[in-house]
This record gives sequence, structure tokens and C-alpha cells, in this order.
Amino acid sequence: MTNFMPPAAIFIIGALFVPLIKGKLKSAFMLLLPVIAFATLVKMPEGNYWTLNFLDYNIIFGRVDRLSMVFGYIFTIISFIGILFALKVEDDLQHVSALLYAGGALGVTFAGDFISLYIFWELLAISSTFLILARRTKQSQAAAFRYILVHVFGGLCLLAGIVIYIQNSGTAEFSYIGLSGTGSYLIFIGIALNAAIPPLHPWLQDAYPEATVTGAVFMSALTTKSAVYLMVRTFPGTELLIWLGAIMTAIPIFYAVLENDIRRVLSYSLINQVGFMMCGIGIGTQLAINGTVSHAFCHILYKALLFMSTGSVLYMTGKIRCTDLGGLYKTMPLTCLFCMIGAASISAFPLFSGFVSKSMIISAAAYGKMTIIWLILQFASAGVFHHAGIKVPFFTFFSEDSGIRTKEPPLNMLLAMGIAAFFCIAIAVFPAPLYNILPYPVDYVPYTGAHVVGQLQLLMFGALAFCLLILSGYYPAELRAVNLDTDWFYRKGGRLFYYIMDKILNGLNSVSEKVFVGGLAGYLGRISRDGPVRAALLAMVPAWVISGKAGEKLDQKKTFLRMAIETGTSPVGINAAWATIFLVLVYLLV
Amino acid sequence: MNEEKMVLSHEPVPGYRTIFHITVVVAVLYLGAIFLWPFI
Repeated sequence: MTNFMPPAAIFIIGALFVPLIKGKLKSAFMLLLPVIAFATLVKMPEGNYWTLNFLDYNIIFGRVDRLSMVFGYIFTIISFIGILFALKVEDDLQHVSALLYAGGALGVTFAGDFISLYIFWELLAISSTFLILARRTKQSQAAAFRYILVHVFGGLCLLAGIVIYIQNSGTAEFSYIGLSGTGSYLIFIGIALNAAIPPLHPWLQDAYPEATVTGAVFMSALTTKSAVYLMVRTFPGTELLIWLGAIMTAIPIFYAVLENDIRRVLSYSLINQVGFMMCGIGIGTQLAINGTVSHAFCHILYKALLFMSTGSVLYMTGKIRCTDLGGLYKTMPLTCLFCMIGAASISAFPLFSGFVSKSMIISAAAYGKMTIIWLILQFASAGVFHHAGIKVPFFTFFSEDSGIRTKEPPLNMLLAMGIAAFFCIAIAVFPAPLYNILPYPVDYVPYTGAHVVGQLQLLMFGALAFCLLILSGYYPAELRAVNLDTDWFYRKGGRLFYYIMDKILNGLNSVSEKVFVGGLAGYLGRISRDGPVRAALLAMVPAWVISGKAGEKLDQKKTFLRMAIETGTSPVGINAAWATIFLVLVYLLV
Repeated sequence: MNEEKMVLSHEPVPGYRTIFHITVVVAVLYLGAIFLWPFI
């Protein structure tokens, strides 16, 4: 087994060779990397591999079990699709970043200890930042800066938690942790940030729409799903996650309705979908965990498909806002079809992948008699159909004709979308292969009369609501504006904080300058400059006054004394007398 | 080719506001009946 290279290493080492290869060989080489990684995965039996001892801790680069294998498979599949989609991009920065990013995600998936996990976790953050920077616009640079700051904060929380965990347990290996103690809470926050759990979520809808066309495909698949994997591994059955997940499914719906940027709409729907997964992890039953893992698998595929189809529109037209698009089905019919398949999958239409995965989580909530959670999840299902299922394809490809006449994207992009679309339908029609690789045995039948009819009811009424809202004019207008979420705190609030700190700290600085530089320091300067004269006058003037000197004579005496000290021409006797007085004082004091 | 629009508003189609309001009333009554049924 250890004769093989870890799947993460295949991507990471492969990424280093990409800039050295040119032309079609480069394309073939990049496509070969996920193929080799997948072949390696298939041959990996369960167990711990690629272990080494570092500072008396066991470092495990290959913890292979059913949970890590599912995520390993889907990360490799989506890497292949993403690379195929990006094949015509002539930018090594994007290729290298994407491959390192995929390597980081696989590294996190198979890490059996916290030390290697942390290294791959940071690799995820850094490499993905370059996928935003690579768009090379002012907005993308600002978004990348905010993205890396937020992820550095999350990484530091995770690191602090890991240090406390290792200190308490004496080992770097980990599995179930659960919320107990400071270390576990810090680890939870670190993972929650990458999973975009509110209120730690705004980095997602801020950064993903600013990433490159191809970069967004990788980003939609890897960061949040690595966090989902880690949450399943370390915090299954944590009740807090049920409520956080439910909030996560519901709140983005309102923002998604208001959004004008199509990729921001998709980002909000991504948060909504990860919310279902968090809910499943929180419920923690075998059905819920299976539902979470299968939903992560399906979600990676259909979300990538949606990001690819909308990315193709951006690639071909240079536009991505509802206000600028519409009527593209005439010139991009295949892209429109793929987008519709992605939209149907995310909406959980029967015979599309979301139907066989999301329903497991909702059923788990129902079996657990969690009525409020079940209602929230049903509401969120209708909501996601509304914004990702209808709004995205409607405003992009139908709606009012924008007059844009373009053509389909290059063949490699269509092929990548076609493969993802194929998986979206195949998994729904034949769910058994997916169910067979899930962490627990599956005893769930998605296609029952009640489930199909219930889901169709939900979707049809959702569609009716959308139509009536549009036709009655109550549907909110799409505006060219940036809607701030909890990112207000570091985008607007940050400026306010800066303003307040500027006023307080600079005000304090100004007062300090006046007091210490202009006032006290000036006084001390004057003292040090003519200190001996002042001391001498202080000692002599009372004596002269007592001896009857006053007026002009006293002034003359003062002037004489000042000149004598400044020019060093005072009588030797006076200096000798001062020296004697000081010596006596020193003798008495010491 | 195309100027970038600042707003994409949705003008009401005559008659649909009435249909919308009727649908909302029916939906509220229907949901109310479902939720209150166990208590009746």
C-alpha cells in the first residue's frame, strides 16, 4: 500500500511541474493527475498509511476509512471536471493554485492527526486565495485580501484549539471530539468558519463571485466540503449544529432573492445547502450522517455544474448580473440545458441528484420528531428552488432579452458541464452505487409515492409563488448594488472602527506631544541647559536678599553670577565650597 | 452593444395582483387548517 503515493501528494507534486510543461502535453498531464489519484484511491484498503514520527507525535497522512473515501472520491472527480473546464485557460497561476488546492482538500480528508491536518488546512486557504487574485481586478484583490484575513483568523482559532487538544490528550491523532472545553470550542470555530456557518459566513459570498471563472468551480467544491468532512469526523451529534444548520438554510434565502450578481446568488445557495449538511451532522443518526455525506457528494457536482454554466456565461459575455443578462437560451442552448440540470438537482426534483440525498436529512429530522427543524428545512427547500432553481436560469437565459448574442463556450467547458450533468442524473436514477459507499449501511428508499408527490407539491407551489410574484410586480427589483451581510462588521464597521481609533489614538498622540514633547520635555530641556545657573540663583538670591541687597544691586549680582557660571569664570573658592557641600551631602546620605 | 442597466424592475401585469392576493388568502387558510386540525 505504501508503495503508492498519497493522493494529496499526486496533486501537490504534479502542480510543481505544470509551469514546466507546454501545449497539449500540459493539458494531458493535468488531466492525468486526478485519474492517477482516483486509481490510487480505488486500491486503498482501510487502515492508516504513510505514517511518520515527528516530535514524538504520530503523523498520519493516510487515514483510510469509509468516511474519508467518499470525500476522497468526490474531491478527485470534481478535480478532474474542474481541470477539464479550465483546460483552455492560459494562466499557470490558476492551474498551479487549483492543483495545490485539490491536494490540500485531499490532504485534509486523509489526515489522521492534527499536525498534518493543519498544514493542509492552511494550504487550502492560501492556494484558494490565488484563485481569487488571479482574476486580476481591483474588486478581486480586495475580496482576496478580506478572504485571507478571515481564513487566517479561522486558522489561528483552529491552531490554538489543536495546541490545547494535544496538550490535554498527549496525542495529535483525532477522531470524535465533541464540544467540551476551550480547545474543542476553538477547533469548532475554526472548522465552522470554513463551513461558512453564520455569522462566520460572509467571506463566501464576498469571495466566490470575485474568483476566476474556473477558480470558482474548485472553490464551490473544496473549502466548505472539507469543513463538512471534518465536522462529520469530529462533531457528529452536536445539538448546536442542528440549530446553526437550520439558520444557515433559511437566512441566505432572503439575501439570494435580493442579489443581482448570479454567482452571489449561487454563493448564498451554497451556504443554504451546507446548512442542510450541518443539520444532518447535528442530528447525528446513521441516516442523518449518510444523508449529510451523500448530500455533500451530490452538492459538489450540481453546484460545480451551476458555477460552470454561469461561469461560461461570464466567460463568453463578460457579464454576470441579472440586470445585464437574459435571453441567452437562443445562443447558448447547451449551457442553458446544463444550468437547468444543475438547477433541478439543487431543487431536488425527482430524477435529479438532490432528491436522493437531501431527503435523507429531512427524513432524519422527521424521524427524530424535530418538527420545527423539519419545517425550517422544508421552507429552505422551497427557498432554494426559488433562487437557485428558478432565479438563476430564468434571469440568465430567459427573462427579458438583453440583446446579447454570443455562442457556446469552448468544447472542453461543455464536456466538463456534460460530465457533471451526467452524474447529477445518473446518481438520481441509480442511487445504489452512491449509497453503497456511504459510511453506514443504507436502508432508505427515496422513490416512494409520498416522497415524490410531497416533493413535487413543494416545488410546484414554489414555482407558482415565483410566477405570481413576478406577474403581480411584487418581486423585488434587481439592483446594481452590493448587499452587505454580517460582513458589514469588517467592511463598513471596520471603517468605523478605523475612524474611531484614528480619532482616539491620534488625539491621544496629539495631547501626548503637547504635554511631553512641548511641555515637560521643553521644561526639562531648559532645566538641563541652564540648570547650574538656576540652582545657583536659587541658593544665592535668598542670601543676598537677607544681606540687604535689592533692586539694581540684586540684578547686578544675578547677572554677574549668571555670566560667571556660563563662562566658567567663577572664583575657585566658590567651586571648592560647592564641592565640599556636595561631598558632605553624599557622606550624610550614603 | 448594451448599456448596463442599474435596475431590473418587474412591472405588474394587469389582473395578476388580484390573483396573487386570492392565492395568498387561500394558502393561509389552507395552512391554518392543517396546523389547527389536531386541536379542533
